[in-house]
Amino acid sequence: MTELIGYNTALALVGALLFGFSSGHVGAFVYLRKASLLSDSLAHATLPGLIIGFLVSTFFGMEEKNSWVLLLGAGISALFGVVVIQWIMTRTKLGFDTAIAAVLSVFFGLGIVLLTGVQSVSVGQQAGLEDYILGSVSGMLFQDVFFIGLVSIICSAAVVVYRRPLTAFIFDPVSGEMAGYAQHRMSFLLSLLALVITIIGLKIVGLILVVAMLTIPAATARLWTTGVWSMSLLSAFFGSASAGTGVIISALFPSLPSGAVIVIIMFIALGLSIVVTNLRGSNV
Amino acid sequence: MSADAISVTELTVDYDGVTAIKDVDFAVRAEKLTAIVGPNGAGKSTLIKALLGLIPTRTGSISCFGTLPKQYRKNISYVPQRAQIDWEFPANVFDVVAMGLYGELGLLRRFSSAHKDRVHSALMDVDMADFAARQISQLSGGQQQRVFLARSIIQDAELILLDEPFGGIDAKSEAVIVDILRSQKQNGKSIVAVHHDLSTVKDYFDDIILLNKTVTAFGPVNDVFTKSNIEKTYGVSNLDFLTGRG
Repeated sequence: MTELIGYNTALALVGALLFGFSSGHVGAFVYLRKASLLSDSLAHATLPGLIIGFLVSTFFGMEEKNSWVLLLGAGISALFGVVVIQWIMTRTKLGFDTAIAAVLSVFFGLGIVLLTGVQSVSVGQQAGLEDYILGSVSGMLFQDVFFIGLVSIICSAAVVVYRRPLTAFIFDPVSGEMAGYAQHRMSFLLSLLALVITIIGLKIVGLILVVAMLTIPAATARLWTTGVWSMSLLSAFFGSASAGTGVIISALFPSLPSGAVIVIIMFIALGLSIVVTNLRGSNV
Repeated sequence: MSADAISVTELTVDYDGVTAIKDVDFAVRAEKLTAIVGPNGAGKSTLIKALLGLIPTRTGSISCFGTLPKQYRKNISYVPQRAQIDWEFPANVFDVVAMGLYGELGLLRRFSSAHKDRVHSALMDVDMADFAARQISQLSGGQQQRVFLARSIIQDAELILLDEPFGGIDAKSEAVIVDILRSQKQNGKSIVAVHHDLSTVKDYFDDIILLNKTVTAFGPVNDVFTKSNIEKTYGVSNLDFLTGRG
């Protein structure tokens, strides 16, 4: 296999397959919770932290590829975005959609300003930063893939363990709470999973498009299935297959960013599914 | 037929920053069908939430068979308003009834064939056994309500709280649901339902709580469901429209 597609691509492929599976798995629940928009604002809110993380790692003379610091910055930044959304909602009369739109655009705008600043003074290898915005698998290291794969497996395991509480929480939160699963705890769990998926997906898909990993496979799977569990597994399969195919295509045509290719493949699967399920009349 | 199922003393609850119910006192007799009745905005849903132990109370106390609602939770089953549920959710009738077992199953315990039998038996109780594989989006309002009742029955809870079980359903389903509630009462369950239709109070319920921010009256329907108490709860101007057979 490695002779056929090269070591780096094989590495990226493994990471993409595992990440695609897990993002589809988690995404089914995010989709049913109708929290896609929140996930998108999370993703866009990672940008300022990503760049601050980059500056910090450069300042301390770490390797430019030190993705730990960047991802940590991205995570903190996204969490701060969620706090701001919560604050806007509790302290003002503005609605959820307004709070999300404000945080999404302001954080992303701030990130772009920082990015432009970084590029103009030309510290380090800023080229690496753009990979996190549009996704690129060309420079992935073994440690990156190991980290992405491990966290993906943990996220999927969490979905397996908490499938009943998450299902009850989304369908009928009060009854879920009566069964022993407090709504705020389940809401936190689902947000945390969405956040973690977003962070580990930055490298493969990029922050602009990572929300698609949580949404499109789930929407596709919803067309074919009539139960939560089968939907989440099919969504995981679609996510994995699309991410894997996208990585291979992106490796064959290195100028194509992997994130965009993956999203286009997922969209084709969704489009075909809509057509076929409508023709069969099985659209439930 | 002995102790009170619920007793509430001087209960005041704020909801969204306003006082939704104030200085509420009442008791619910065990093994009876009790209606909570009052105009829109009277605080009925807030009261239910407080009885479930879901929202903090400002003053006063609630006791369910002598314990706090939160500690009694495993013995309470709740049937939400149909309108609060997304019926496009990917689940069939069997799946929804099985959710009644989630508390008992915990995170990882396998769903065994014994559990499966219990789901089917609960579906028989509400006369929905033939619908087990039906998607919930394809049910009528009355059928949806019966599925929720089956989910409640399977929990085998002592206390059943229902938020408008008869809201927006046809007369035939309403009769079926009343029968189910009565047979649950025969099985020793205590049942409290938020109810809107004053004309059916006397037929369906044993006891009533008249609520408009505060309790205007509570007790057996025959004693308490009087013209003057209804006037006190709803205000005189609405009376002609509301009384019906009351």
